[in-house]
Formats: sequence, structure tokens, C-alpha cells
Amino acid sequence: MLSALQNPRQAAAQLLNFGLILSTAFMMWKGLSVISDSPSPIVVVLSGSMEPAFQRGDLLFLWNRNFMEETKVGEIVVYNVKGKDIPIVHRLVRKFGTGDEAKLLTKGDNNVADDTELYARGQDYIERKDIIGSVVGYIPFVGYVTILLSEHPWLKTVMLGIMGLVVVMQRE
Amino acid sequence: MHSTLVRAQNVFGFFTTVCFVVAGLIALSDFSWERKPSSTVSVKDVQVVRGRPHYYSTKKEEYAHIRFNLNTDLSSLFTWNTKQVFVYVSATWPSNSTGPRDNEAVIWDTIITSPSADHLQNIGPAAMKKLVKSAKGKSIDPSRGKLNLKNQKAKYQITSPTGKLAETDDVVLKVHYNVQPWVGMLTWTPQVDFGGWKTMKGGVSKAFTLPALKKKKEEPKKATS
Amino acid sequence: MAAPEKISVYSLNDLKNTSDDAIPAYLNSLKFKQSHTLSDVRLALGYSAFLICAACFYWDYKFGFESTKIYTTIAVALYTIINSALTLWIWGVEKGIIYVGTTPNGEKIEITTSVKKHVPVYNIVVKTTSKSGKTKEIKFKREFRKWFDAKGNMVAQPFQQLWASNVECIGMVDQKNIVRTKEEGKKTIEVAGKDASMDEKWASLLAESQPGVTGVETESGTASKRGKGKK
Repeated sequence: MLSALQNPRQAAAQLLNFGLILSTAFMMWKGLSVISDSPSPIVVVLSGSMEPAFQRGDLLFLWNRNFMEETKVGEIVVYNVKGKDIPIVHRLVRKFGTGDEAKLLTKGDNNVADDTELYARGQDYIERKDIIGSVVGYIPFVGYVTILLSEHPWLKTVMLGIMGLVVVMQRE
Repeated sequence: MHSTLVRAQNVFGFFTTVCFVVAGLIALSDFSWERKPSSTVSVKDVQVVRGRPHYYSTKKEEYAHIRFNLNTDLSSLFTWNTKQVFVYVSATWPSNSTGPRDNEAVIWDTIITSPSADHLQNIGPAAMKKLVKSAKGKSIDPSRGKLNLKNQKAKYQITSPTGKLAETDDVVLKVHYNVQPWVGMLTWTPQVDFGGWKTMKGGVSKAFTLPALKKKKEEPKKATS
Repeated sequence: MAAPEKISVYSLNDLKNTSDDAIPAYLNSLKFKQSHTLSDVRLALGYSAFLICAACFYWDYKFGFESTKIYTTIAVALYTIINSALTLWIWGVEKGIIYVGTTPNGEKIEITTSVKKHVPVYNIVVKTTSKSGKTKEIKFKREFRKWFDAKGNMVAQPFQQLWASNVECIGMVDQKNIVRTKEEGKKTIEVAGKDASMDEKWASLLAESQPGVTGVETESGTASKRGKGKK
């Protein structure tokens, strides 16, 4: 550390190491975004409405391109609702029409009623553009850390602090 | 700084690497199991009635109630990496009599858990006891995935955004499944053979016509439940 | 010479990095002129990649994913290319070179160091190019314990002696640090095109500094024995 401060090139190199770790992680995420055409290609399940298929904390991989066929009934989709921050993971149960104007209805496997109640006021169906991806891959439990972090915000500070320290204290 | 923390980091890193490699191998093992599901589905009885989507609604819509027979053998979908199989029957119908079947609605579904996931099912204690007992000591239950339903009432009635359904031609029931793994790829009924994964044998009903509106008024409790 | 920080002697990475850092400091103190081209290219590549990422982060945060999709695609492609170039640069061009410079005599010097996993030995390759364009490569290695004490402090003198005794163009300008033992001679493997005129210079140099060296030799006697025992 001390010698790094005396030599600007070395300090720049050390800072760069740290920056490249962060930026590579971010660009890998964006790369996945671009490939899957989804703003959020990996999501963490936050509710139990798709149990027993998905539990809280499970990690889902999304795919948002329609190569061979349209998004169809039975697929598990992640969609956004106007005025709500958190996307919802539910199964597509009805589809009327084809293309971008098709009217889509979703329902959670573990819910009794369909999602009409969850949609915005006066909205009876969602459309293809509301969907940010269909679930194609699954890893259980790995995302539970993010749930812990959002439920206990102080953990974030602690983790960031530790990570920063570790990166700064050692090279490569 | 060096010893303890670096060691902990290395051990944790190695642990995660091993976990992901093992998970990847398990996910890949899916392809080594043959899938040869078969099913037959037929319509037993169809009625079209008028009703309101919910109690306070003034709008009246047409609903189709379908009863069907279903016989499936999806037992080949259950492997060590199967968490559950989601089986669903959908009705597809065209918007106009000459066009393609561009509407699809799930009329009935069920979740068949693998014995390893039985404890996750959202069912009553008595049913849970029965379910767990049915596969005691087995990691894969060969009787799972076999369904034989006679005159089964649809869970969800068919609706249409236009509100009109009576006398629709060319309606077809289809059986689909979705395999939910413990880790890896989610898979649906394949459209073409893919290695050892065969397409569903059968699983499509004969085309039928929805009948004219039933004269007798019937009020569904809630349209979409 | 800068006082090196205390490090953990159990971390091979720390041993190598601290030693690597000490070389430019030592050589530059001998009026060597360091060339920073290699590290400057690396920094330029690295920071341009980082800037692209920062820009991408900004527009993604500000305008969302859908409306900036094309730019994000381009940014991801560019970032991948630059990062690959950076990796290629580090693995293919830098190849562990930690010092490039010119001696006060006008010779070019290039120093590459490496360590093998779990072996606490510093492997050094020095490539020198004389003004007439003749190149010469010297390879030698030494245990780190020769210049790190048990607490992890770096001791400058034995480290400087290692360089001055093994590399003639360094020895020429830092004669007080030349130690010539039998072992030192064994460990020096001269690889390419030995320059005859250099040899002569070297011999005269040795002769000049002989009285000074003997004194140091007795001091470093224990260290040499230890080295022998390990062999």
C-alpha cells in the first residue's frame, strides 16, 4: 500500500485491478442481457407463489427471444406491471391472439386465482412487451443471499466493507 | 491478513467451484435419460353458459365448461433430477372459423412431485401423509406420472376477451408437461424428437365444436378461479 | 531506496511483488532510465475498458435497457475486444517483464521474474542489449529467504548484492555490492552470445573491486552454506 502511494503508475495499476474486477462483472451481466435480450437475465425468486417449483431464493435464468415460436401457454414468464418495481414470476395460462398484441393471462402455480388482481387498475391482460423473459434455467437457493441483504440492509454495508478491504489489501 | 482469511477464501472458492461443477454434471445427466411420454385425451362433455366475470360486474360473458377423459404415462420423466412435473391440458381454438388456432387456455393442471420434493407440496396434512407414504423409501416412484381421469371437470373455464364462445368450431384439447429439475434446464413437451427425448405420443384430442348457448341460466361463482 | 513494507513470508505472491517493486527502485537509484511503455500500454488498455464500462453503466442507469440496447451491445463487444487485447498484452507481450530500462552506459536491460507454485524461489531472466546490438540472456534463481527476514522485512543489501553480482551491467555501476563466491558463479547460467569485450571489462572490474569483496564474502558465508545444503 505504502509503496503504491509513492509511485503513481503502481497506484494506477492497483486501482485498475479493482476497477476491472467490478467492470468485468458488470459487463458480463450486460453481455448476458444482450444475448438473452432481457434487461434482467438472472432473477431471484422472492415469493412462494410458484411453489413447489420455485422457493424463495432460487435463481432463475431468463430468455427473452422468440426464435422458433412465440411465447406460449405453460411457459413460466417474468413480467413487469406498471407502477410496480418488482417483476413477477408466474405461469402463462391463457393466450388470445398472436404476435405483440396477443392478450396474455398469468397465474402462480401455488395461487388459487389468476393474476388479474395483480395487474394495474383496469388491466385485464398483459402483453408480450411486459414480459422480460421466460424461465429456462434453474439453480436452487443460491440467490438467498440477496434476500438476506434486502431484508437486513446493514449486511450490505458490512459486506461491501469487507470486500473493499480484501481487494485493496492484496494484489491480484 | 494472509493466512486465515486467504485460506478461508480459498476453501470457500474451492467449495463453490466443486458445487457448480457437480450441479452442472447433474444438469447434464438429464440428457442421458430417455423420455417417452404418451397420453390420450378426449372430450366428454361441453357446455357454454353466460355469466359475469365477477359478482359486481355488469358485463355478461360466455364461458365454456369442459369435461374430459385423460390417460397419461409420464413416468419416464421422473429421474433423480426431477423435482416436479407440471401437467396441463389446454384448449386451443381459432378466432375465426377459417384461421389457425390462435387462442389457447389451460383448462386443467396438476403438479406431480418427485418423492424427493413431496414435502414441498401445498396440500393438507392427510393428503401429505398419504403422498409421502406412497413413495416411502423410493427415490424415484415408477407409479408417479400415470394419470387416469374419467369425466374430469375442468379447473378453469374457457373465456374469451370478445365474450363470445358459443358455436366455436375446431376446438382441440392438448396435453402438455413441464419438467422442473432440481438444478438445470426447465423443459417442456418437445415439438420434435431430441435425442432420447421423444415427442408426446398422442396427447391431442379430436377437434370438436362448442355447443350453442345453453338456455338455462347458470351463474358461475367466479369466472377465473 | 524506499523502505519496503512488512509482508507475510508465507505468501509467495507478496514475496514476489515486494521483490519486483524493489528492483525499479534500486536500479533507478543507480541512474538507470526506466522505460514505462509496457505498463503504459497496459494502463491505457485497462482504463479505456473501464471507461467504456462506466459509460455503459451510466446510460443504462439513466435511460434503461430497452432504449440503449444497441449501444450496450456495442459497448459489450468493445469491452470484450479491449479486455482480450489486455489479456494478450499481459500474457503475450509483457510475459512477466517487470523492468525495462537503459543503463547509464547505454545498454538496454529487460528483467523478467517468475515463481513456481509453492516453491519459494525467485526465478530471474535478464536480457541485455549492448549499444552494438548484441543481446545476452542471463538466467539465475535464488531463494527469497536470502533477502527477507523471518518477520517479513525486506533487507536491501543482499538483494542488491544478488543483482550487482549476477548482472554485469548492474555490477558495473554498483561495484560496492558485488559479491563473487564459487556458488554465485555456478548459479549464473549465461545463455546467449557472450560478448568478448564485456568479458574483459568484467575481469578488470573484478580485479578493481577485489579488496572490497573479500570483506563481504565472509559475512555472506553462512548464507551460501545454507544454499548449498538445500541443493
